[in-house]
Amino acid sequence: MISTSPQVTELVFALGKGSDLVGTVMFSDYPAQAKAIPQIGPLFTPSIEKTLRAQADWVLMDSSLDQTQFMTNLSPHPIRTFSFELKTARGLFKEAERFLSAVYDSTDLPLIRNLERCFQASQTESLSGASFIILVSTSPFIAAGQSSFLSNLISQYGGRNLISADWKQDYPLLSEEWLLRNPPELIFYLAMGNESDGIQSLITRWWPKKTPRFISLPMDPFGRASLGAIAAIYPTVFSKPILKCYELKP
Amino acid sequence: MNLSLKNLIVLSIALLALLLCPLFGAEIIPFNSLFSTSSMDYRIFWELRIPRWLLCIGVGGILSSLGGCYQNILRNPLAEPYVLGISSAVALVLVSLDLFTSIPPTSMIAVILAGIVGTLASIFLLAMSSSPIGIQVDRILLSGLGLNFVLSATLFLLLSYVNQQMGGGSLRWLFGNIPWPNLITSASVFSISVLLLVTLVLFSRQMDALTLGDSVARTLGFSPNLCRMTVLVLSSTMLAVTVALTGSIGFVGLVVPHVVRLIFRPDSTRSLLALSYLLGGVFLTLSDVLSRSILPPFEFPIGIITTLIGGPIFLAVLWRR
Amino acid sequence: MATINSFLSGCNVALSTDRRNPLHPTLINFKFPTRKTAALVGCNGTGKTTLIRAILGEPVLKSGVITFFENRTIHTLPQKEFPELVAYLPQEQPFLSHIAVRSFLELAFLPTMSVLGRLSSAQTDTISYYLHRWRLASLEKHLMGRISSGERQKIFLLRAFLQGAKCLVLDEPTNHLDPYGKSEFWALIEKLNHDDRIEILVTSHDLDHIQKHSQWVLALDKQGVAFEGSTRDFFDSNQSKKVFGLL
Repeated sequence: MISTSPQVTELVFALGKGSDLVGTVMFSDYPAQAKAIPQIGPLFTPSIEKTLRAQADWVLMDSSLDQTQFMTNLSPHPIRTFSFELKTARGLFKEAERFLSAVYDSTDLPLIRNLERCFQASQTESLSGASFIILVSTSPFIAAGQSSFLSNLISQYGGRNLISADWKQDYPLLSEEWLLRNPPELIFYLAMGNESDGIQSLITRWWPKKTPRFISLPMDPFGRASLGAIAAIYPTVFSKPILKCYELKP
Repeated sequence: MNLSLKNLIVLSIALLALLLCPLFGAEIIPFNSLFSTSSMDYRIFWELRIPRWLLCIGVGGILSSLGGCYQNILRNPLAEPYVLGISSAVALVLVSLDLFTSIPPTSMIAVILAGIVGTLASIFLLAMSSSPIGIQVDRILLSGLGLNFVLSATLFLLLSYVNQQMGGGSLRWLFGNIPWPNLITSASVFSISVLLLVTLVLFSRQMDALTLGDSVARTLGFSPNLCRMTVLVLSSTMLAVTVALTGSIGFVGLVVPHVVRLIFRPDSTRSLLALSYLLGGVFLTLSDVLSRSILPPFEFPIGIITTLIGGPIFLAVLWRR
Repeated sequence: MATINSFLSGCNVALSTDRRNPLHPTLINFKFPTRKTAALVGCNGTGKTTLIRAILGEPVLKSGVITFFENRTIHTLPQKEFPELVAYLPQEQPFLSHIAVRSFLELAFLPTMSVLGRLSSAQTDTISYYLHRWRLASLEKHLMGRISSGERQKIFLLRAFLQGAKCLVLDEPTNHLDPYGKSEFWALIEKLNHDDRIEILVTSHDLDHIQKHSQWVLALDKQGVAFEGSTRDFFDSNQSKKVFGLL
């Protein structure tokens, strides 16, 4: 199989089928074993030539990337494609299931069932409708919209993204002023390094009595739609240890 | 400058618009709430909007007056501050800085580094354009264009490979981004921009002489080479600092001087520069307000607004000629 | 006090546009007498404009010395002493088309203008006076881009004159003028030389006008100086025809 997205690569490894991958794209760094797989090109435009030469049975695509050009180039060739739609947490499990049955004809579902049960179990705690916002950068000011994986993940635990659902973009540009007028109860920030200190002190200054809770989300694993993110969100938000049932097969 | 009634009216409207700008944004602040010092509106007005307003005036002013300068020095009506590639050089250096050392582009170190890069780049350009008989003006423009192409290509290459979060992402380098500064930063930028304007006005007589051609300028006792070198190096430093803080905001430096010429017909470079500064400040501030008011709380990248407004205005100016 | 006999002289001048190869195989020597309008003639490509540039102090002088009024050597002259010495009207004069004629003329006073660009009332009056005297007063408020090229050329000349320099150097000023314009312009040049006592050096191809309005000729050819002397001698001795290859 060939994977055209780092998220997909990671998922395939998590499902225990990593050894069947013969090619991935750049930045496929997770898990560590993925780095050893030969690269067939950069993120958005894998090399058709290398793809065909690898003589894989399947090409795995990712619907969150714009791969129409690649698809068009690939269509005349007799290679099968499978497209993952990794937009939501539950969706990830469903796609894993769909993948295993399409590519492996397998009903090796216990693994997925376990993971789903684990996910279910972690939802004992709830944010009870607390409003949140996920900051991706401060200059420009970008937040994660409701259609993004992270937003959906946190909403599963009862959070409510302040960016309303009419915002179709995954990552809209925001006005800081609006944020200061309507501070959420939780502010997640994704790997912003030193910039986050600025925003933290600004908001703390403005709302000394109602300061939101700041939660840092490191890029690994939250920078992509992955089982790692699903596993790590519960301990991160509720300051609990990671659930044992997430121990994944190598 | 001609203090005709028409000019005074236009100036008054521009100033009035400028003064009203801080009241607008994601929400319109009603004038009377400015008097209740504990209200949210009051805080937002003074702590958020006024600093941003000052920054816009300063940056818009610099870009426009520099545009007027460059059009004079490079003897080309299409010249504008970014044409010499200074902004691309700064962008490239700051994105690389963020990539390899995780220092964000808006930090103090980055801004200072940007200033140094800007100065060095301009000196490099001048060196490339010099010949035994002095600095050849056409070569400055061509070398700058060439430099711009190469640096932009490298920048885009880097941006396409790099994580989207890096260096604030491609958005700020392609379309600019006005941050919400604190009062100290914006007051500093504003003061330095006024200082730069004053410096450029000190050179305005020399630039007037340049309009007569280099040979005649020399017989009038001026040194065209020295004038060009000094203005270019000084302005590149300031330009680099604005690029570090706000990215590249297109069209402001190109359009505003032409509009000033069309409306006010300034008879000296001094008036051109001062009026460009003022109108440029107004233009950028208005664009900024628009970017935040069209679809709150969404904020359009500033460069898109300035291009959407500046583009048609530029075509209109051309057509009027 | 010794009287000065020439307003512009060149001694063993070698011109070069690339600092290495001289333009002419022989050295150039000339001495323009005072109170005589001097004409510089020669076919295209014989180095007239390069000589003009050398006279204006540009670095095209490979060797030799060019002196104004027998005591001001152009290449040792500090830049700020130029305006009182020489004013220049180039072949192609750039200008801003959107400014008024009066504003353009004010540029003549740039050397003495303060940073704030204020003219003294004497200077303002001078502009008005000469606009009137040269019968150009009607053009005062017109934009530079809107007047005819003949009128504009006279404005350029007026600008150069208002600078207040002792010498005026004109490079082919009548190239684009119609015959009437040419006559008017040459009459103006003569008036400047006679009445306002400005020393004048003109390059031109207008042989008729040179014969009528100038008193001294320096002719260049590919070798160097082909002729230097009074205008009468130049035209009487058929030197003119030889220089222009008409013989």
